[in-house]
Amino acid sequence: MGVAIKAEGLTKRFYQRGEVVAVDQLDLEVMEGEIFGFLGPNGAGKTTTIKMLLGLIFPDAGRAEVLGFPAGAQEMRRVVSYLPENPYFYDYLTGGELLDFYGRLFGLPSAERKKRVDQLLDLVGLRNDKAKQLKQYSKGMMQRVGIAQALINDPKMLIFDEPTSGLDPVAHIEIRNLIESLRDQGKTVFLSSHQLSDVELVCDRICILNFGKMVKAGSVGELTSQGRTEITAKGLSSDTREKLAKLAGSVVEREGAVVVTVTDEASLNTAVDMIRAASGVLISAIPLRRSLEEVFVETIGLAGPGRRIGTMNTLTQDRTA
Amino acid sequence: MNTWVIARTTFGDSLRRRVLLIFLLLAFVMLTLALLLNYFTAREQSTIFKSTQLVIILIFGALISITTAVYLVPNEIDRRTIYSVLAKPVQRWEFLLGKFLGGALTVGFMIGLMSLALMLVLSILALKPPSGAADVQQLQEASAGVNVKDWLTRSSAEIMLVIRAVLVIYFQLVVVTAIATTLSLYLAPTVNFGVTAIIWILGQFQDALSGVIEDRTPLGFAVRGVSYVVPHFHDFNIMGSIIHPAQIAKDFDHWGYALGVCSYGLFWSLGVLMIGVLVFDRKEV
Ligand SMILES: Nc1ncnc2c1ncn2[C@@H]1O[C@H](COP(=O)(O)OP(=O)(O)O)[C@@H](O)[C@H]1O
Ligand SMILES: [Mg+2]
Repeated sequence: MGVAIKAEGLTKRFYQRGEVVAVDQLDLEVMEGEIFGFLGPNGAGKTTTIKMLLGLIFPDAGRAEVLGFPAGAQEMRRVVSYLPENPYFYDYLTGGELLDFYGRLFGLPSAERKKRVDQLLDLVGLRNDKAKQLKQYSKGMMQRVGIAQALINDPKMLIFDEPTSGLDPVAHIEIRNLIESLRDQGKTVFLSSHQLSDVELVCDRICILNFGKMVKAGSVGELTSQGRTEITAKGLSSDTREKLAKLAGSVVEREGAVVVTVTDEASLNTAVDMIRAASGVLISAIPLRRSLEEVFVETIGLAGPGRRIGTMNTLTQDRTA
Repeated sequence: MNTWVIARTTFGDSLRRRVLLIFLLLAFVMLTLALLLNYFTAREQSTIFKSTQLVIILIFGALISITTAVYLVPNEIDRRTIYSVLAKPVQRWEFLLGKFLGGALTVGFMIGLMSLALMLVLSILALKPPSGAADVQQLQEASAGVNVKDWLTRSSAEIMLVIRAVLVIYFQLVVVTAIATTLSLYLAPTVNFGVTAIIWILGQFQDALSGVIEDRTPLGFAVRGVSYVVPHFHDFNIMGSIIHPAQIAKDFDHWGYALGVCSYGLFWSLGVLMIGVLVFDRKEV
């Protein structure tokens, strides 16, 4: 499996009422065929990173490659597509005309364009709104037509910037399903979001960005696992309980069973051995997981006391908007 | 190819701008007023009438081209429509050229409409023989028994004259469009409107500016400097040859001159756009 995105030391500064380091020495590696979640609070630098990948803005330092092409290269833009944050398109065009326009930019011949436009409008459920001006589209419809335009060239990789922001829960699920089906077709999806529930369900790997720096990266499983396991057992003598308490720190009685929590694999084994040696009944041993949200809040909160205030600021006001 | 796709969409967008339609409407009102004034006052001054009409077309054309061009690119950035376009395999020069071309098409369409109206009026006026027919009564008589062949000759001459004059006006406006488009990469639309308008006006008086050749004060130098930098729009002013046809040499090549001026405008535009392309290539959107 090849590398879809590789960024090294990517840095971008803005000067507006002082210097803002929007993206700070970012290293990034996204593999082909995966759904990669790019997380972070508002103002973390997600959109800025994406714009650098597409060549809409230029890094002050560092470099990035997308599908083997330099970021922003024309050849790269043939095989990558982009759904901007809060997308906005020529609103005097109809949905059909807009897609046709983008199809032309890829040089698709007329017959193929016609076919693809209809297919895509079907796919995103806008078939009946083909002849309606975008002016009359709702936010959700705009997002759908945005997804359709992103698929016009049958891209190898899709970059979605906050695709679900401002949509209702049903639309969330639809977009999630669509993203998964894109992965099933072998496409790479780079998904920027601050909507953690979406990301948790679909992403293979994620990274969390704060103040332009990567503060955490890994697979969703790795990040949410705590390395702690909760063991439930029955039929233990008080002697065994005491031994377990010594091992795990404490034991809890729950509905006639004994519950202990161990923090590493060695003590997990020891605890299980103890229970079995005492002829107890092992009911379950469940690895404890945090939600991605907890990981996120914890990580962002740990960004340092001085920066926390900054986080609150960027959470309440998106300065790019 | 992409340039053309973008130009077409831009043209479609511009035609929907209400301001432009208002300018167009105003221009028609002015043209009609000028026609009426001419009709009720000086009968023998159809040359003055023609040049007045052409000046009206020029001024409204300039208003339309500046208003169109200052918004071409900034609107794309403000409305964030540019992101999805530049993320496609579109070169930045193709985008900029496409926007410019769309603007130029819009201006062409607008002054095309105005000159069609003018041609119509002139060919109707050509019903009247060039001299002699003094009053309305005679005009009506003349038109009743009009010699179709004569009329066709006269009106086609008028139409060719309008085409030539409007072509030259158009290429002047193409330069204006190119300047405003390139400046829009730096300047906010309202500022750009003023700056481009000033350049256009200075260009009209370019020959007067360069005329302060004896003036050796710093101001004189500055003015002369400006006269070199601004486009020589004075050369585009072929109204003189319409007003005073007698003063022009018999063998003067009107079409040659007109086409020469047009290519001067074209080169100017290309030069300005080239700067624009260089700037836009590194512009962050
Ligand atoms: N064009 C710009 N000019 C000045 N500052 C900007 C610009 N774009 C982004 N920023 C700043 O860079 C930081 C990152 O913004 P952004 O990448 O939009 O964050 P995100 O997409 O994660 O919400 C923010 O502090 C924002 O204010
Ligand atoms: Mg963003």
